[in-house]
Amino acid sequence: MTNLDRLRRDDPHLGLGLGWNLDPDWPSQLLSALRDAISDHDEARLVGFAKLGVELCREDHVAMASAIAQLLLVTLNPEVNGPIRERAATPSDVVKAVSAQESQPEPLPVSVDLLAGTIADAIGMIEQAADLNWRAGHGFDALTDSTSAGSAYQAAGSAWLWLERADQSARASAAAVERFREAGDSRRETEALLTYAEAAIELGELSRAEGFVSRVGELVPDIRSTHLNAVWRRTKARIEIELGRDEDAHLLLMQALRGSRKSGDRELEVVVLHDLAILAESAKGPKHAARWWCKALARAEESGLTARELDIARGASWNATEVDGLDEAIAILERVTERHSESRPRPVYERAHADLGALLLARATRQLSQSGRSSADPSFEQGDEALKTSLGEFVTDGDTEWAGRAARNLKRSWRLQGKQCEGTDWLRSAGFGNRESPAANGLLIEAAMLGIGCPEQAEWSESWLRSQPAQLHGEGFAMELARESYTLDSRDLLQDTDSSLKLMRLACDVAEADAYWGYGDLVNDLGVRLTSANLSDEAEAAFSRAIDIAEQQENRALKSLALANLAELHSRQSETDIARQLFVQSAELAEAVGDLDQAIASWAGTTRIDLKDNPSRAAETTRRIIDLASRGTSPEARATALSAQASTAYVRGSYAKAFTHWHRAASLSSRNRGEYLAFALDALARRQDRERFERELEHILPGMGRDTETIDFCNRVLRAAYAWASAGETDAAGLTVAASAALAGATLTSTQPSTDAQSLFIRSMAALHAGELVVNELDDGGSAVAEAVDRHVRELIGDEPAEALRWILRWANSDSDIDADPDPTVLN
Amino acid sequence: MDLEQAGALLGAAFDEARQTDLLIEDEVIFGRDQDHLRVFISSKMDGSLDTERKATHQVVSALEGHRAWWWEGDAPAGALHSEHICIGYAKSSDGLVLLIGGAISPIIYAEYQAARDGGAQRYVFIRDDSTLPDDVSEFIQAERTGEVVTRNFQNVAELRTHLHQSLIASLIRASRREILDRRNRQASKRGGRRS
Repeated sequence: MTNLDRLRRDDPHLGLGLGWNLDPDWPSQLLSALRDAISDHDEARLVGFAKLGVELCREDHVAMASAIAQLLLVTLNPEVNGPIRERAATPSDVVKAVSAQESQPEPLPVSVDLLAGTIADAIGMIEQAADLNWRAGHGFDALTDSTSAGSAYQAAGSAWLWLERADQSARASAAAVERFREAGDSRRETEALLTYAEAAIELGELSRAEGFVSRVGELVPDIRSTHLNAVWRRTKARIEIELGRDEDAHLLLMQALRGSRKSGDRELEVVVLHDLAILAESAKGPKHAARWWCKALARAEESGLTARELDIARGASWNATEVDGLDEAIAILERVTERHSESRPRPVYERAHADLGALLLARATRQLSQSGRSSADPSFEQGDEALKTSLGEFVTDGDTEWAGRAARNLKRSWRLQGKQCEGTDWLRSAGFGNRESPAANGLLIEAAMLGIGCPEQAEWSESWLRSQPAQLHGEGFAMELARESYTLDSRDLLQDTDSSLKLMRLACDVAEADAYWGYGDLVNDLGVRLTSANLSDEAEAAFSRAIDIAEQQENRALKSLALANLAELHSRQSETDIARQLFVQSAELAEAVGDLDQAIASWAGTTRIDLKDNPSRAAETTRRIIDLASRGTSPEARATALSAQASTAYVRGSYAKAFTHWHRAASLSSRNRGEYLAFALDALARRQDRERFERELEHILPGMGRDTETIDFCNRVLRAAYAWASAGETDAAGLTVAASAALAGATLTSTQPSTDAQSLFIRSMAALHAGELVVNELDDGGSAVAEAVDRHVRELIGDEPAEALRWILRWANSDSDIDADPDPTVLN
Repeated sequence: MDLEQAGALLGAAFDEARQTDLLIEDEVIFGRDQDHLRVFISSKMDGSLDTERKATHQVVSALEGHRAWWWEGDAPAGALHSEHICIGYAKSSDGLVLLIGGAISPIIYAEYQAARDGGAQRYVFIRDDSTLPDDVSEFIQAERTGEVVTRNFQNVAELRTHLHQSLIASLIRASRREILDRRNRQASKRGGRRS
């Protein structure tokens, strides 16, 4: 009852006796006095009780405030029936019941609106709090009560700010500032100005925010409030953060922190600690920020600020992913969501819960990559469940952004688990489609994107996506489809060539129908996807279409790209003359638009062709490539240039130089690292430098993961096996094949079985087969290489894993449909 | 033995293997709180590059997870051009697109410098028919490094293709880590007080 001390000790106007607030049975006294006022139909006293309810609520007596509101509501409206009239209702039911009433510009209904708004704020129904306070503000305006209107608008502005609805917050805060100024209440005007400044910062209106803060700077000295002084400094700090002036911001926040402690404002202290954590993370990095996160989280927990605690826990878990790892990050969110699983304040609880789900999925993905499918399952299931629950709540609340995030993470999870059908079905049948909200519609888009990869749902998915009027989604709808297509063709665990292709076709159709300005770029991207799917004729048609569009638009950049892609297609079909001609055209156009990266890539295409038939021309082009690379290009382009140099050296027999260049290229490249490392090893094999070869291999193997780079390495390194074998080094050839097989086997078992030719699974199978073909070819009736492979596999990974690899090879051989990589020996 | 068991055994042999598929993991982690990547559009504001500015805004905005900041749409209505605010926004952006069609004013240099200091990805697009003063040519030459995308364009179609390719290549996935820093700046908004 300590907080009641702040309330008036007697209130004869309300019928409360002296010292009522010190009586242990004060609730009964209060309710009895209220009933008397109701019986007397004394509106002025009832309004007084509503105001007392607001005070009680602010002192944490939410249940009593709710009881007052309930009694006043049923008194006000005789037509209110059902549970709200029959028995004690929960605060949330009272808030809902008041919200459902029509607004009336009379003293009592307006006071009840304000009381319900205060209760809503206290129990985390922030949206209702904003609406009820806004309604109360209008009511007080009609009653010409500026101060009360200002208070209500101020509460609405704060609530909308919390809900990240800055425009509504600005509107309410502006009204509050005006009312308090009319009433000559400079203290409350200051508070409202600070909220208004926060909203302006959110809206990116920093000049306006600076104006408000500067006005507060004029008012604060006369008000002499440590609390407001601290809030003022905190708001100024926010502007400094937005402008990138971190040191000034830090200084202001430290002053605000001291002020908050001096004034005993725990919430402000927690808010400032939170700001300091965020600032430290941004300015000095996660390690430095970790202690601020700990302080902020601990203080929020001690102070019982549930919503703050949940919000800070999310930030602290972000920090932990960087500093302590995923397990600790998950533990933070598990602790906080478990602790508040009863009250579940919106929207922060569900956001923390959704974050927990995302982190569990991230851990499952990591386990999938590291240890294979079986170990990942529990985290996937836990993550799925957490996200499904949160998703339902987000849709109910109409929180489109968070519903979208949760749905996209679920979509990734289902794809990784091969559960496209189950996932699509869940999204479609969970009832979201029946709810007319942008959030629900967004989920259907996600369902349709996912369903493209499910045979039973593909037809619905495609027709549903086609039926979407592009203008509904803005001109980015084609790009949204294209983006999904890129995701499914990134040659990682999500690889789904067929779906990627379908989505890109859809993107092109939507773009063409809508005369989208990016149509030409998307058609070019479609050609790339068709090439991946080995649909050469269609790919050629797409590139030709892109070239036509580029010519119509006089777009050299697009033409250069499409020409290079078309050249690559012809090169694969061994139509080298046409390919070379197209590469040259592409390179010249790329140079003309200053795209040196593309110019290098296209010129490198010509050297690849010339190396076989015209080495001197290849050498000349390589010099041009080196010159271009020296003019400032991306690391990837410099790697391509180094690889061209390496290839030229390799053809000349300068293997040491070739090794050095490929080795350097590997260190620069993120796209072709595996390939360059394999070529570097091949150069060492050609030099018959066994010692260096083994040293390099020993260094490379632990750094390889379960990804497309590894499979490129597994395929390309087999060339070195031939080099060793031709030099009579059977044992070294065996070591090479062993390394390739062990890596390919590990990658194979980390992914879902798939029939997609571009999937890691099938490409790993192909690499395993390629290794076996090399052994069969090299042994030529004997078994020396096979024996060496077996021995080296055991040495590399141990007996038990070696046995597992043998089982996998036997299993892979039982599938006769898998071919080896068609051309594991292409240079560059 | 089945494939699961064999995979577990073989996987155990590679326990020390480098963490892979960071991209998907990052997509999931960063999907938690993906504030939009802010791309600042910088150029002379004398009307000579208005079409190009609009096209840039259009391309950036069409990419999921990207938001263009441009004076025309994002500056407070009625406010005069405020140098320190533009520079502040440039510094705290994830990317900066600089359109060049001739001379560059000191404020544009300052915006570019701020973006560089803030670690933003930078894209410099130069209109072909521009007459470039010496200082601008020297600036472009100096910035033509592997870290900065520099391209020429003769029309809006070329500019769009450059933007499409550059943003997709360098921002969509590669910048996920940078979101963390940016997110922190944005996230301070959640500190807003409710009472």
